[in-house]
Amino acid sequence: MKDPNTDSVKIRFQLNDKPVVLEVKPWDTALAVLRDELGLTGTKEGCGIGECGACTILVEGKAVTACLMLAAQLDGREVQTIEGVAEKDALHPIQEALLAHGAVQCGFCTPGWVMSAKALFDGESDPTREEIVDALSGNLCRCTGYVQVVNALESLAESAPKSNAADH
Amino acid sequence: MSSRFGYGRPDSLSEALDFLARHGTETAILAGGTDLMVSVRSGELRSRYVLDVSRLEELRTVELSDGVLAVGSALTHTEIATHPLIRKYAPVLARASGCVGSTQIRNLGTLGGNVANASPAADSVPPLMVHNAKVVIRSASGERVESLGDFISGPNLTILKPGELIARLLLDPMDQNYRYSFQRIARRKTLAIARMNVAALGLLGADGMVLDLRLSIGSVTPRPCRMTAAEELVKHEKPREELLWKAAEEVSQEMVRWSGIRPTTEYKRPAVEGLVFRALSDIFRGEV
Repeated sequence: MKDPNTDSVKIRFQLNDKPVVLEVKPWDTALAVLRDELGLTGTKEGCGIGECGACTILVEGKAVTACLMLAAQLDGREVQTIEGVAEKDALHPIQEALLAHGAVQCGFCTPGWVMSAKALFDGESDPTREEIVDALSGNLCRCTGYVQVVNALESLAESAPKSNAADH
Repeated sequence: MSSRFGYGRPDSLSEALDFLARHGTETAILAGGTDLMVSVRSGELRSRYVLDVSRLEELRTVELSDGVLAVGSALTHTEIATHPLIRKYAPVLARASGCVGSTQIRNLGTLGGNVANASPAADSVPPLMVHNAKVVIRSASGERVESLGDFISGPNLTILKPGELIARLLLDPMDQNYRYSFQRIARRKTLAIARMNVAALGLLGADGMVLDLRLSIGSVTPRPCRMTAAEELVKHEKPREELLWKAAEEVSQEMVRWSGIRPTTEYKRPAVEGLVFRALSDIFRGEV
């Protein structure tokens, strides 16, 4: 193995289903590169030390905090951010449910909720309320809007009663 | 301001060890990064290089052979918590790994990182102690094996030398007649560092007598340890409620012997006793 370059590192990865190639600083976080180099500012920096979940992204389908990863660690990986969740003009059902249940207050933590929820529902189409709470317990909301978030996601579980939440 | 360094990701363990042989003194090892990245952000990390070992397949295996459960150091807490062999033969470790941080942290942080970071509050350490864990340390010049109790030499200190890395943890597999308990106190359930954590394995005989007990407590002693006096107190006895409380008191006295009377002792003593009692009741009386 050659001695690593201490000025830059070249990385290639799939970002929201599109290939990306770029040079980054070896010490840049994944979060900084997504926001500042790639302009994807939907991923938020809350605490910067892995405690709030505002910067949650999916790497290989798993929810991780982008502030605790080097951009260099994304090399060769499949990465999804909040910008890759909606399809063209149609919001993702998770986003629709959050809207319908009034689960957004200031909105800063919302992208993180969506990504954690997506990781959950990609693996389990019928989670219990307890599983939902557990899967989301790494996301903090300073506006304390937890109940609406959990209610919104519970409405998406396969066995949830089918009703149009917007009618409530 | 953030630390600055070069980033390297070896393709094999031997490549990693070669690199560490040349640059061990100026290299920080990145496994999950959940602790390392905090010191990168603050600028505290002063290494010239960061070596990313998170993808090395040699560090990501779980094997049961010759009565030893060998667990790769670069497995994430999520992988540990869900691995069928670990759930069967070291369920208390699986349980504790499922309590670390949050989903996001468990998807990044690794068992080897938890051990190398050597926080007294590390959730994986008490479970490893009740499994008599040994640390397999690799370097370019070979391999050495140390007990976990010797490996962690103090708060955030280990005997790992420059040029070495943790390859595997070796555990005594749990006999299927044993029962286990992991108990934890923290400010809240998720994302809070443990104030104290207890792991226990126990075996009850057909006559209702305790045949074996292994008990370890984290966060309240500077080094990982087993509570041997309390273990001996309960062994070969019926696990009556009074006896379990007596064992719990023995543990809190042991804690004070290790760390002296501190301002927090008044809180910690009853808390430790309650937590140990809860673990022992869970195992021997089926009640928590």
